[in-house]
Amino acid sequence: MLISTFTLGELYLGIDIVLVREINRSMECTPVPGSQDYIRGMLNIRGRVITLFDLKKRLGWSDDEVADHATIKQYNVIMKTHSEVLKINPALAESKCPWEDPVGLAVDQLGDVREIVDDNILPPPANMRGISADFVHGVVEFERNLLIILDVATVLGFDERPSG
Amino acid sequence: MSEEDDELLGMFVQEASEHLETIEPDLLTLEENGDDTEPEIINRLFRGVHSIKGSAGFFGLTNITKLSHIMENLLGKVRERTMSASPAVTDSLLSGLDKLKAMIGDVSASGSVDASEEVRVIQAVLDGESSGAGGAAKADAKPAAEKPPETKKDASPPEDPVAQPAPEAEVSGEPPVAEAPPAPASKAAPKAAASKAAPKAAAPKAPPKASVPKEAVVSMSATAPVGAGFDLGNYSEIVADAIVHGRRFFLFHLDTEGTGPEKRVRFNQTKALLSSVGKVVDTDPAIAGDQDLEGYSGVVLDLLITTVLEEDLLVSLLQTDSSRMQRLEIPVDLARKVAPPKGMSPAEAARHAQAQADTTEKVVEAVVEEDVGFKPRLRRPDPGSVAIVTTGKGREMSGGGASKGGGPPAVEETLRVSVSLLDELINMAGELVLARNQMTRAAVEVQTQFPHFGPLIQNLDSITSRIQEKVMQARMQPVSVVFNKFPRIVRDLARKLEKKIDLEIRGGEVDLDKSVIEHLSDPLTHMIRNVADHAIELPQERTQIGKPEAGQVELAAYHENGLVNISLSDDGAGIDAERVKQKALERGQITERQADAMSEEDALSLIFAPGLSMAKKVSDVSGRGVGMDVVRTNIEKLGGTVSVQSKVGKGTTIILKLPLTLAIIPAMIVSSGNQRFAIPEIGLVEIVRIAESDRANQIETVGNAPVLRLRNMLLPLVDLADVLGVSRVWPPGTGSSDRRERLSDRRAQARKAREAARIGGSAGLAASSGLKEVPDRRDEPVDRRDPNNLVAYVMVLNVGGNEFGMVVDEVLDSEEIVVKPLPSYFKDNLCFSATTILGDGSVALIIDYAGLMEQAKINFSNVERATRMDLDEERRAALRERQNIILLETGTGLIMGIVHSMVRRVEKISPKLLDTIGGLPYVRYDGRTFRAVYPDQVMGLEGMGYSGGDPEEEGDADLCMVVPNIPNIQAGLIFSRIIDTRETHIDLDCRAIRAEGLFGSAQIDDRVVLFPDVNTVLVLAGIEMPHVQAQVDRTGLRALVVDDTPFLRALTSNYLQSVGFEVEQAEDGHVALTKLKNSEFDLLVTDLNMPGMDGFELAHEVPSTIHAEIPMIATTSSISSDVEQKCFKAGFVSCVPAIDKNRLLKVVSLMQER
Repeated sequence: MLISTFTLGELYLGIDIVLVREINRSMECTPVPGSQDYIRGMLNIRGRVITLFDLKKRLGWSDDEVADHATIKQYNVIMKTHSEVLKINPALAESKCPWEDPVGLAVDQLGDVREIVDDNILPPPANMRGISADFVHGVVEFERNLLIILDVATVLGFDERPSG
Repeated sequence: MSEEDDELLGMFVQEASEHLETIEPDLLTLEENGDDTEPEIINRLFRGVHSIKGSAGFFGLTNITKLSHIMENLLGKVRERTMSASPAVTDSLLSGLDKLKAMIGDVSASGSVDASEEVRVIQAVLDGESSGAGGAAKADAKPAAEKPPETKKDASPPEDPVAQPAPEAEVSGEPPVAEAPPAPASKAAPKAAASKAAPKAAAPKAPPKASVPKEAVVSMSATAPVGAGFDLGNYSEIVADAIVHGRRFFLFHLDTEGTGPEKRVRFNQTKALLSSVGKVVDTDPAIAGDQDLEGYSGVVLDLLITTVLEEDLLVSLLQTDSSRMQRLEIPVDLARKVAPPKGMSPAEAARHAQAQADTTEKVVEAVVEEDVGFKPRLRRPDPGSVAIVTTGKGREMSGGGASKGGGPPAVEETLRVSVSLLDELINMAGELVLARNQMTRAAVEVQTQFPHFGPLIQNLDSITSRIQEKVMQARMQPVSVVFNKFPRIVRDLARKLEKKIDLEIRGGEVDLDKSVIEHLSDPLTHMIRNVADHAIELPQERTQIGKPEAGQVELAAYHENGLVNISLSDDGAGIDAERVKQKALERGQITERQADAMSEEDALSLIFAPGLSMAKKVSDVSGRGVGMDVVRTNIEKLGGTVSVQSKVGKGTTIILKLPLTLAIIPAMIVSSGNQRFAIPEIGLVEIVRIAESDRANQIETVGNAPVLRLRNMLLPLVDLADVLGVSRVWPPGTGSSDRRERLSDRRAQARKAREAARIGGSAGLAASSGLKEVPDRRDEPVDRRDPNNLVAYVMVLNVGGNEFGMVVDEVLDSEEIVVKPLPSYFKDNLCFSATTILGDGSVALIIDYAGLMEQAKINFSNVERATRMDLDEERRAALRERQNIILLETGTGLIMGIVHSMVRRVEKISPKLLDTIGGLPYVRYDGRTFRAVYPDQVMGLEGMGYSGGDPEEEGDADLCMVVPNIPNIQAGLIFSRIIDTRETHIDLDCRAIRAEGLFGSAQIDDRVVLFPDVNTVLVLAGIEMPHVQAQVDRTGLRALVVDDTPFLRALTSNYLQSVGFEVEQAEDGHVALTKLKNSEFDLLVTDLNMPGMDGFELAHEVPSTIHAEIPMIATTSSISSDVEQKCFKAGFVSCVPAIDKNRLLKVVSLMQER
């Protein structure tokens, strides 16, 4: 499958490209008072109201860690919704894409699109830094880099699986 | 079931529901008119049920088939006039209809619904009145059995003058593609055979039909078992399709013999054989898809077949003989109707045919249907056959109001569009508007370089607006969608309650957004139920009080001020505001003070209070109430308001005001803590601008909560930023965002600022309050760091009748915003209802007032409400004029109070100065002789005192004499001593102690003080007054006296009564105004200084009543030239001191002369 990759601090992360709708340079968004701290706010992308997650905060990074990279101009990875994925790949929609709201993830740098073979996906090692295994679908080794494939559903708060 | 079948089934449900909807009003008409019902209506009923039966059979919906079948049988009897349309009949039919509705509402479960009771009831009705018609099976067979005579009758075409159109002529009118050679119409035994079996029924139907040249019947062998007839008019879409594709129609008589299962096999075989070359359109009797045809043994099964094959080929294909096959020609008029004009391309032809088909009945296979997408139901054509549509039109043209609904209006070409597609369109139209807005902004710069750009943008602008408008319209539905169900509900209720109710519906064509319509049904049902249950009296009661026996209820919709009003009025018992109040009091929902201060309108609106309506007792008393809180909640959810007006004995009107749509709403864009929010304008009462310098003056604290003093009200305040927890940068521009300040801090700051201002000698900015003040402050080069220029805005909001103020930093703009749903991540947040996208493309949250109120824990529950009202009350009291009173003690120990302004002077006199001349006491004083009056004696109250001695023998203590302020009077009231002078307001009790010359008594310092009417006392003492009243006799005229002080009110009234006026009293301007509006007066005397509405305001309002010309006199305790001038300007004839009888009467007498 094709994986859209990006970085978050030192982490090298990826998402199944079928789930990605588009990627934008980050833009100003409207904060929602009283919401979770990892929700940065709402964006308007061509008339759609997108809820933007601050991925670092969602992964539980401390304010200092977040601030370390505060100067970097970030990108927003906008996800497809359940109904959009349903049109392309119903099975995937059912298994991996439960969210109905248009959402986006704020990330640091964009990487390439990588083709990976499902068989190469390994379960997450126990000692990952900066990300809990709950948010990880699996890892793939790439040129001595560990590409972490995100479990987007969990990131967005849909954890069906018991968290560890 | 295949996907296609699913789709068909969906269509069936839709179609059947539409039928059901016409069946119901028609049944009600039938019930009302009984046997006088127009045959047309009965026919329509019959057709409706029949077509449901047919289609249900097609899908194998056994239960629906069974029930509709028996209903059809009963209707058939009614139509034949072999059975009269008795209530029993209509009742059973209505109950059947309900069950049908239930089953069709959930088709998939219809198989498990038990309809046997309904079937039994209808069967019983059938058995009871029809001779011999036994079971369903028998009735079933009946139409077939009666066919031959029918056919014969119809088969004599000469009767029908138009039935002769030359086939050739018709052919030329046909498009080339339409191969079907229209021959002598073979509409044959149209549904006639199936439905209008008896000649009797056919007779009334004949006249309308005469206009339709199609009653010819195919000749067929007399021996051929003639099966059901099919009216091709019922299948106009298929017919249209057939014409386009060159298909023909055949009637195929399936074997008469054979058992059910055998027939089933044969039937399926036929279907299979036909599948490639045509299809079975319908069967008669209807067959359920998976039925084993057990009940059809011995019954002729007729199939309506459409195919491209010639007759002989078809016969051989089906391995039958030609006697069983019968060609059905497409009736000429039908062909003309559905056929496309010459010269069309096949595609166009097809489209045309479909469009044409719109005007006729929809069948299961309908591709294009009338209008279902956006305006289902209203402009739907008569669900009858072509013939019926034709007659319907004829009816309309001839102006005959045949059916209740009237004939169908000219039918527009319509298309069925799914709601989701529409919603998408609306969304995109919304985006287009946003893009337009952004473009317009950008255009300002571009225009300087490209001058042509302006007009382009303008054009885009107008097109965009139009698109948006039209798209919004597409979502509109007529309110009749909701209204139409009420005749039935009212009928059922009336029957159950044994009342008579006429429901009139007006304005069903008024359009409302689908989303609004959907939520209207429940509240309206509640309201109607209440009206029927509580408002409308029993028939005998009504006749007793001279009302028509049947309660008149009107449900109307109309546009007003850009909103849609829906009013429900009745002429029932009305609601007694006082009793509502009483009940609310008993339940502790309001305090006594509140009750006193409450206007009738407010009291009536108590019926919407949750607790109140729940109580059974109250509903008995108030006449309404059950679930009225639900009504209000629902309507307010829709952004609407509810109000109620009622006159006891006359009736009640409840008015709902609703926005046309929920998708686009007008809103104010405000900022708070540097973030923008949208505030829906509905519910926004006003915006008050408060200068920081004046803040402390206007904002007070009541029990820890800040409140704004606004006119007569104390508004609880919430600071939007505080509630939301938004960091505040205050004053704006100072930068450090960490500085979060609470309202109280800001108030403290404001106080400091004020002090600073005072020291600096600069006058603080006066706070102005006004409606919708929206200055564009963005361009204002104001240095906000100057505390004197700090400004906050209070948005006064109304939630469910409670008002509160929301403090925001700035009011930016008023915009029509497109409402977008709130992402689910924020659903827990009470404060926001939705989101929108602002003109600059950024997202803003829409504030939900009710949620905000909850979040801020503003609670308007009884206690706090009471505090609010009590504060109000205190204020009123403070406003009330204080009177300077002199308290005196009589020789008998009574304490009397005399208003200071009534007194010219008080003299201390020695008892030695008292003398008796001619049996009357006099006082020589200051060289003059005053008549001495003992008020207690004069009024006959001596006995009440504790020392009942003769005052003349009082001894040597000095007495005091009060010389009243009446010109040319040489008299004084004698008291033993002055106790005190007091400035206080008097709560006069006119009842406890009564005596001639006494206004009443009041408690002052726990002692009872009597207030004598000095004038009367003097008169009683036999002192001749230098009257003016001798000339003034205004007997028979009516005066209205307005004063908030009961004492002065009584006084003034007294004066006026003394010269013959019939006096009515009012305690403030509002009450006075109501009285002025409701009855005739010849004079208005009002106090100037009153709470609520003062005298000037009242004077201002008077011209709006019927009393534009009424003379007005102002009374005041403090008269000055200033006041006099103001009075003059306000239109008062004169301004007199409150207690000056002579001046008042003089003015009155002058007016008389005028």
